[in-house]
Amino acid sequence: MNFKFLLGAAVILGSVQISTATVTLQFGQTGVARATGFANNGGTPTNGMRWGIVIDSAGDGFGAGGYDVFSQEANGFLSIGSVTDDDYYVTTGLSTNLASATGADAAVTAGAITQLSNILGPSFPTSPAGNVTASDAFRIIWFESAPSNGTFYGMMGDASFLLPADGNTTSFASAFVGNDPNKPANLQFGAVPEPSRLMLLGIGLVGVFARRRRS
Amino acid sequence: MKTSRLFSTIFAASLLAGTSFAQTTATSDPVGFVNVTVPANSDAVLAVPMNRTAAFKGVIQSINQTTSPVTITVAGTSPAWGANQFVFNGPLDAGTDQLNTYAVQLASGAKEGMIGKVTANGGNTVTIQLDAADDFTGITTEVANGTGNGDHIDIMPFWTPGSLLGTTLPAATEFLGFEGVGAGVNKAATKVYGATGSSWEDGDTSDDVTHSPLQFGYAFVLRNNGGTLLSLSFVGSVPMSASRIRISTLGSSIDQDQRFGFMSPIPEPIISLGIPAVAGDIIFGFNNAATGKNKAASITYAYDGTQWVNDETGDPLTAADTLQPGFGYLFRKFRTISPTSVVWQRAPSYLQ
Repeated sequence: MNFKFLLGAAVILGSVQISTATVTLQFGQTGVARATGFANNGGTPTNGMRWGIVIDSAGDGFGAGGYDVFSQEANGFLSIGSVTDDDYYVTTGLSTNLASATGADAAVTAGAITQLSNILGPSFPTSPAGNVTASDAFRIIWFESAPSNGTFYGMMGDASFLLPADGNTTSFASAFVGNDPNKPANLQFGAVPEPSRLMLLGIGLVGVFARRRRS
Repeated sequence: MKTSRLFSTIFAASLLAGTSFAQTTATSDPVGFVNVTVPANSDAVLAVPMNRTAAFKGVIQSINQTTSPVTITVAGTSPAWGANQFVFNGPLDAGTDQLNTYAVQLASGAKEGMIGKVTANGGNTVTIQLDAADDFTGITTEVANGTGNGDHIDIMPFWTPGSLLGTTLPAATEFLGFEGVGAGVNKAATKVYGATGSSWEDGDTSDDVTHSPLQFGYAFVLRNNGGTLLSLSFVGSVPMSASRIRISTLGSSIDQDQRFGFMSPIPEPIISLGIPAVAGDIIFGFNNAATGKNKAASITYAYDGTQWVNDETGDPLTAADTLQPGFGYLFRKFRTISPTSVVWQRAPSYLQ
């Protein structure tokens, strides 16, 4: 019998260096909803894409569109333009799969994240900035293929996507209630920096040229 | 949450009749039930207080070896079991399904309470897989130790979500299991099963887990995601032998959390349970009547090296401080330099 069901990702969070802790994040739940529609760059829900979560450990937002490539197999802080950022990636070791959705998601037959896994990783990520703590915002991230320059990836957030405290098992299935729209992987690793970054770069170059003209 | 108990003795007469265990017997342990409730939109930390009805009670005639897997030959007239009748075989089709996973529990002797999962059986033999740290050293048999000296065994099914909780709980009700959580503390659930209204499903695979075995001695969380209070009864055979729980540290110099429940249908004073504690060990209890999910512990008992004390008041525990039947608890084992374990073996108070 196929029913909407749950997915979870367990994330290691450390409370102190001598211990480890986990939380379980459910993105689907029996009788509530399941997460479907995770798609490739063309907008087609696709099975077999690796996914994880990115945590905004410093509360300064996500660097969507600007991340450098990283190992999809290892947890760690990401970087943007070769500068280490404060966004922390947690791999689930899982991939999108065939949905067994019902109800509003019945038409979606691929690109679901339904697995539950207990992820091991750094227990207490403290550098380069901020600590991963409860109430940090996170987003789901998925890759069309293993990250390399130009690889497409997608990110999905929701106001409810806040890390629970250590030891908790928390459902975020309500974010997927109703007809899940397809979510295309429309960002690229090592892609053109965001407009704000371009602007900063432009201002810097203007300064360099101005200095040269004076000299 | 209120827990009512009925230590029923419906079948006590047959148990106490003194029927020899050395034969294939028809005796039954007394049965009882424990009622539990889970508030709306809340968690309750629960544990199984009783066994499922034994399919066989007998005596060990011989064993082939002391290390797992162990094949036990039972004493007396052959029970003439069907080949692998104690091995899960289903669901296939009606009439051939064998949906129980069976365990052998030692019912007497030095390792009373030890559990092994049945992996095969013959007409009068049963092969079991032991936990990694367990073996059959010290187990007595009729052949090795003389007639009348063999250890007793019970063959009984593991509890499953379906047999313990039924299959009609409201959809979105969840079972959170904590077996194999790994090293450390504050561990989240490793198993999340969801009720569909007619079965249980695994969030990992969407497989039907209605008949999946639940390990002995572990506590679980029943999460009521509905807006009305859940009421259910744990009905089973009253344990008539000791429970045996291995309390472990799984990492080096890391405290270890282990959710557990004590197998008894009546309140058991903590100070009388013979818990093999060391200074720094902690037991957390939870208020199952309080509303909320992922609730923090409501009471903390700490072992100070000589006695259990209330961690808030510092007062030594008394006989009034009990483990409640059907309730689950969290044992936080104080760290050890390297992974180790101790065995907590204790019969319920009514067998003392």
